[in-house]
Amino acid sequence: MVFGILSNKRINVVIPVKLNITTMYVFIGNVLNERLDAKSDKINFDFSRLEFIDPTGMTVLCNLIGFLYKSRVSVSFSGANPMKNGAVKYLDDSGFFKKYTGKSLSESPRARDSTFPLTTISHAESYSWINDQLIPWISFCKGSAESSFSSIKVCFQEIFNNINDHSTTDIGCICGQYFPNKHEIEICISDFGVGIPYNVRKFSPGLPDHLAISKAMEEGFTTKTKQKNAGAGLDILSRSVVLANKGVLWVSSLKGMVTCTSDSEKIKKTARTVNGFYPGTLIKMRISTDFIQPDDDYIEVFEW
Amino acid sequence: MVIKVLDIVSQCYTNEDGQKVYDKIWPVLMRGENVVLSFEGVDTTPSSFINSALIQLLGVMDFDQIKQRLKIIKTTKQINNMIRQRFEFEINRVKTQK
Repeated sequence: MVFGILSNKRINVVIPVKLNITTMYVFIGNVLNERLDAKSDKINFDFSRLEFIDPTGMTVLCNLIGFLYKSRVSVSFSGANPMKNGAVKYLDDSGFFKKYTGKSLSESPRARDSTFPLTTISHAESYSWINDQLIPWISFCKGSAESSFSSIKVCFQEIFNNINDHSTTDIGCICGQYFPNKHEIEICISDFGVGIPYNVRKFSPGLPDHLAISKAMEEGFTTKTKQKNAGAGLDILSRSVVLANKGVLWVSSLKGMVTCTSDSEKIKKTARTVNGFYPGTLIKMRISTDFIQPDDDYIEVFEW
Repeated sequence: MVIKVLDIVSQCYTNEDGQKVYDKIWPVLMRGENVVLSFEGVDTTPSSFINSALIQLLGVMDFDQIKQRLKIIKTTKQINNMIRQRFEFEINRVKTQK
């Protein structure tokens, strides 16, 4: 897909003090319009004001810059000093600058053990990656011996199958952070595909984006982008995060967002229109390590 | 007939993986034979796999026949819950549509 360039005059985009799920919309809007045209063919990202970036901010930055590269926009960075700025050091330690400039800012950057570094994963790689990279990291955060953590594992299997089945891209950008003081893990995975509402509106025309996301999360609603789809993936994802792991799930796509929280052992879905847009689908989950349960090793007997 | 899923696919992950399993089991069931489907070595199955491997059977057999002729062994709690949940939803959907 080819997108337009709106200007050939270099623009400077200041990354906000905090880059997270709240501030990402304005940040993206400074770079792209809603048709995904880049505001300029030369964009500089100024890191000098950045003080905090969470896993959501990391994946947004990763997807946005990857998209600009594909659109042949010349991207540069300024104001990035890891010696003076903890957030920039965190980015550098996570491999951000090496990924996009070929060189780290520090001599020996090292991702913290509590960080699951920024990673771009295709669907074909995802099965092994979930088993070999993600689950061992979650085991480390939980402080327990490596276990299957099947309720978490299946969340990511559903997400990657969903990206593969419904998006125009089969690649997801993922980043995670463990907050030991809060006993919480935050993981964000996002793509720059067509977005959930795009497919939903083929079957339910006229639905605004936030209600289209909510519709897509109902069990049994399927856009049949693949013949065998049964409309279970997003519903199972929300059950696994909210009910099985007592977590919170955010799904942001185009101009809508749905937040899923626990309410008396049921899932409470809150859908709203956001002030801006996310070009694709972004899924953020926060789970408490106090509630993640390693699996029992024994084999169960199946009864109908 | 005992069919071990990992003899058919290397992973129980996608619609395509599930389709390969379905293609092995439904001809056996159609011949009137029973199938014992073993998930030995598998710890999780997402919905895409179960939909293609098992839920499709509802298109060629009724649920009572499936329960009588298909035995599932060596599973985990997650796999059991996924199979039950997917069948329960699809059967209720059909009932609601009638």
